[in-house]
Amino acid sequence: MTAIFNKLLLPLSPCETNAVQALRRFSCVAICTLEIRNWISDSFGVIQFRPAIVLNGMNEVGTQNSSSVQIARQTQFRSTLHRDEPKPDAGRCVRRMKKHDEYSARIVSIAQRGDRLAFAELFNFYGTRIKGFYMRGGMAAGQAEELAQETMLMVWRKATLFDPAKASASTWIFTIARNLRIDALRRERYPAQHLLEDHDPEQEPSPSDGLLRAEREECIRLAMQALPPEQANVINLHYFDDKAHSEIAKALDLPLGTVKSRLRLAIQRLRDLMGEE
Amino acid sequence: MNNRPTDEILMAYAAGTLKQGPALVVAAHLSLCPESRLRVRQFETIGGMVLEDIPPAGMSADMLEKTLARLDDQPVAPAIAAGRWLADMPEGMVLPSPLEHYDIGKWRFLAPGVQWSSIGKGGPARTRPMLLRSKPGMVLPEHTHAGTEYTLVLKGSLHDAMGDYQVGDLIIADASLEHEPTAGPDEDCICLAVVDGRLLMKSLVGRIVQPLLGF
Repeated sequence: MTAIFNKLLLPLSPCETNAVQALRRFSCVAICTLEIRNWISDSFGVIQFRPAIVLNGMNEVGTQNSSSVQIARQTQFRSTLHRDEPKPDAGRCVRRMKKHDEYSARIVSIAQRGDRLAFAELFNFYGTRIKGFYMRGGMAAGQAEELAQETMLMVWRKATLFDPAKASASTWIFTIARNLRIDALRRERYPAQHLLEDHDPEQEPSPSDGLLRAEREECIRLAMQALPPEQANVINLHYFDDKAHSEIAKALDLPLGTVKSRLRLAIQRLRDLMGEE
Repeated sequence: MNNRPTDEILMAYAAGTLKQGPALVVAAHLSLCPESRLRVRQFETIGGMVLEDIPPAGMSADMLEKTLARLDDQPVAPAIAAGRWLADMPEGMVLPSPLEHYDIGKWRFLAPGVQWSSIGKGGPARTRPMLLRSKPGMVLPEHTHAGTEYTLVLKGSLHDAMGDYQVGDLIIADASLEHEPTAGPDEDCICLAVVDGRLLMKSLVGRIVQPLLGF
């Protein structure tokens, strides 16, 4: 076993491109997941809890994917502390427990050494969410899945352009997904300034900028979490598709004026919380 | 810079839900305004959070395997050709980079001292962005009554009852607003403009010329 995983953790040569798939043939993986996970964690010198994203993802078929396993596991963990934890909290819980940096490191690892294992981990976390993102925007499941695949391929190809000092993994992947969604819906190119290909000549980040940006992102995260749920909800809806406010109002069963004022309030509050820069 | 898009507009831009024309004008504005750029970054961060929070949609069992198998495919990158620019620009004038891939038509007469040029081919003509070029001191006719006007100053300056606008300033005028800014007295003024019109119009040019013919 160890030999195989040793191989997996090294950059794969072309003739080994299917090595990851070889993993699937090991029926014992599911049983050994925990040990393997710990083993991998040890190899990386990672001490903190790391969900077995890849290994689960490759074994579980059908609806149960790694993320749900992960959420279930952590919810279970939490519920030993707080009983009857409401379900929507699970996602936030995952987010809080997981260092965003970990996914950034995966992208960097792809850029530096074509790390397929890192890609698989990203795929299992983001792929399903990107599909969900497209579907919430009104795309049919089949098309959403196809486009999610394209999006992840784009992540692989553009990994060298990712700069962890400029954005977190989620932010960067969001911009890729957003641009592909627009391309899929429109015939003309959306003139979005991609984070990755930004024309920002005068703003070459120094090492300390990375920290600053990370702090800034953290501020925004905290600000979003501090919003009252109904305001956060209006903002969320804003991101899924170009529904007019009137349609959002209909979906929420609220008067149009309420939706507009909530959005305005939410943005005002965000601005206060984030601080004007 | 005192004339920036509202946060609502920047958020829509970051979310990718702004219409094509306004998005182009906002992108051009961003290339000139670090403040707005930072704001968009912030809203993109929120986009990242929204993405994290979305309930995952189950993928087909073999999707990861299929994707891994495609990692080494050579991407068929659709080469995006540079646009053809037929309108001549004043010496030293550099158009914002977001315009790179759009065709820009020849200058055409719009009003005495004012020319216009259409940008791109996609979409209905009435919502197509355009460049406006005005001689010093001339009045820029309002683009339309039927939608929100986005006007970005690219060269020279504009002024109206509300104030002065310099390069990089974006003026967003609601349909309810009477808005006919004047070019500054010293040099030609070039603007990038678009109408986010939801109402039916015969043609944008018709709407622009119409009020002029009434003189």
